[in-house]
Amino acid sequence: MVPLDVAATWTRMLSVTAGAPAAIGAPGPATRIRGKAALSWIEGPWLGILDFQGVKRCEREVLDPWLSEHAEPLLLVRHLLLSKPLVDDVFIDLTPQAREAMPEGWRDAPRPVLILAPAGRSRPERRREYLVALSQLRIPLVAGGSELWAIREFDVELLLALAQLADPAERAAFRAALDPSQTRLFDQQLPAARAAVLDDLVGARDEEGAVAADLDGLSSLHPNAHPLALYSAVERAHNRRRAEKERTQFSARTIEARLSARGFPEPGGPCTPAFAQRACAIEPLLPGDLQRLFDADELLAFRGGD
Amino acid sequence: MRTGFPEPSACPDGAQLLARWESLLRKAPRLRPWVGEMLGQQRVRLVARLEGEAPLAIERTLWEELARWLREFEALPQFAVSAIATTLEAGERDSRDGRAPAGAEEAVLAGSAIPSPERAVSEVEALLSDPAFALAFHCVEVRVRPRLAGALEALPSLSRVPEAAWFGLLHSSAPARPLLTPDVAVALVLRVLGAEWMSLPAESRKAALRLFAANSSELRGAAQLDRLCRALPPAWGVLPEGAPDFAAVSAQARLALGDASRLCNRIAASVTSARRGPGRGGFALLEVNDAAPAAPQELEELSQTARKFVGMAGFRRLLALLR
Repeated sequence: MVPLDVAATWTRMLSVTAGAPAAIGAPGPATRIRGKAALSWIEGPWLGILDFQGVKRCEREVLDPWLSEHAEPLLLVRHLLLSKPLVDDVFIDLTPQAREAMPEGWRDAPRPVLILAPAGRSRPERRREYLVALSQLRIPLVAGGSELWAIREFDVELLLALAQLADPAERAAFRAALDPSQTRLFDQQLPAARAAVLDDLVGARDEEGAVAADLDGLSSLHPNAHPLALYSAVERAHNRRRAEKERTQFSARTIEARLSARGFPEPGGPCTPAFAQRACAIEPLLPGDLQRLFDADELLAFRGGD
Repeated sequence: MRTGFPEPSACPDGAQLLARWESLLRKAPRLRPWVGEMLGQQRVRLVARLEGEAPLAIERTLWEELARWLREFEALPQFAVSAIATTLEAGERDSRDGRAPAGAEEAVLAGSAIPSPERAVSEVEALLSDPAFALAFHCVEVRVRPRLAGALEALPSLSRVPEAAWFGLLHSSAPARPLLTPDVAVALVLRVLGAEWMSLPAESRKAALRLFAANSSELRGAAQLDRLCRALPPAWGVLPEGAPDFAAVSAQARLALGDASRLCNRIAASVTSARRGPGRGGFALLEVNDAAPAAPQELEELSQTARKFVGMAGFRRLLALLR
């Protein structure tokens, strides 16, 4: 077991149940785009790959059994099949439960792949390793290339705390260490926090914002394009507008653009009247939003022509 | 199949429910022992609880339970039902406890968040009983609220836009982070205080977010401005000619949020520099970005807020940490 800081864990649990995200990034299977779950674009569950590089051995010893005994079935019902967690090399090896639960033929076609990386623990070059490894893997599952994979970062400390609190003795000790006025609240918050974290891993609690609004807009223009492909175009269009220092955390194909040196700076062409007419027929857009959406649309088309 | 199942005549839909269960169990045969065991346990409990009632009442209650489980299982994808069955077969603890299977329980829990005023109040109280969020609340109270009020006072055309909407807009436009930072703590307090924002229609929220993020120069002669303003809640009364005012208040609100986050950072730095180790409480999680500790007048300001909200447990704990 890893020593648990009761006050810190309690603060984090309260924040997550009140709505703070425990995982963010590219859409997950449960992220809603135009009111539909991202899952609905391609039939079948997504593949989830937890990356434990940067996670200490003692932490992995707590997380591994909890994942397989408790979290994995709960992620299965959230449409995420897990592969064995990564430590160093990036490769895909489905867990026994995933192998048993996967629908027939699931492994024989490209599937959306979500890499779940521990926030604040990954080295920047890790993203390059994902890209290289997934580009080189010759299995049908990842034949969709970077079109169908992306990253969500999660709070590994919270996951670790929840794993420990699944143990009755740990839970009792934690409860005893809380202010007595909060023990009843703890009993209510613990299952809520666990559900919230698992929901966050699959994007079920993703909230609106500028990226989500553009994702909806681009999806309306390209209703058949997969949300991960759309997201990468939108993320890249947003990154163009960020200061250099802020362009460091990419969750989608933007990584590829950056690493291939095709990336930045990326001058975009001016929005055409035809595009403006098409986009504004769907929703009212101010000039800045329209130009950003046009950039994303161009990036999507560029990729389509690769 | 029918072993342990209640008497079909006890429920008008009994035969139909039985057929649906048969269909489900054909697809996931490993669920069968779990269903039998659960029915047995429920029956024992009901016999004890409904002592003296007609036997049919017990049977009827069992059917109600079966109908509920069936709805939950049928809503799940096939592979997930199989996965649950696999887990149950392996002697998963939840079935021993006599509760619904792990997956079904969580799926229902996740989807059952029904907003209510009581729930909202209880969430605010729970959150603000924590010193880290009491601090974030203070920062909203002394940096965001006054600046927003000042900006709105100068622009009466926006007086009908509720404070909760500005809070909701600020929260939605703040970058999401998967860890707890001072920015996240402040944004979360805004989210909780601006809960009313989420009750607006999605299209109105999206239009408001577009307008909130715009700068004044973008609004001059913008062809779509009229449509955008029409998509806002009519009660706000924001007209295209008032859109530059909206952008001006938005800019002030964003600046105020930045101030609030920096203040939160400084006071958090004061807590963490004064306390090392477990005494820091939830502040151990707040990543403090090399901030200088708070100035004495900022700490005095905090004491004033604590005196104003004397019933808020989080402030007592926060002040104790700063002592």
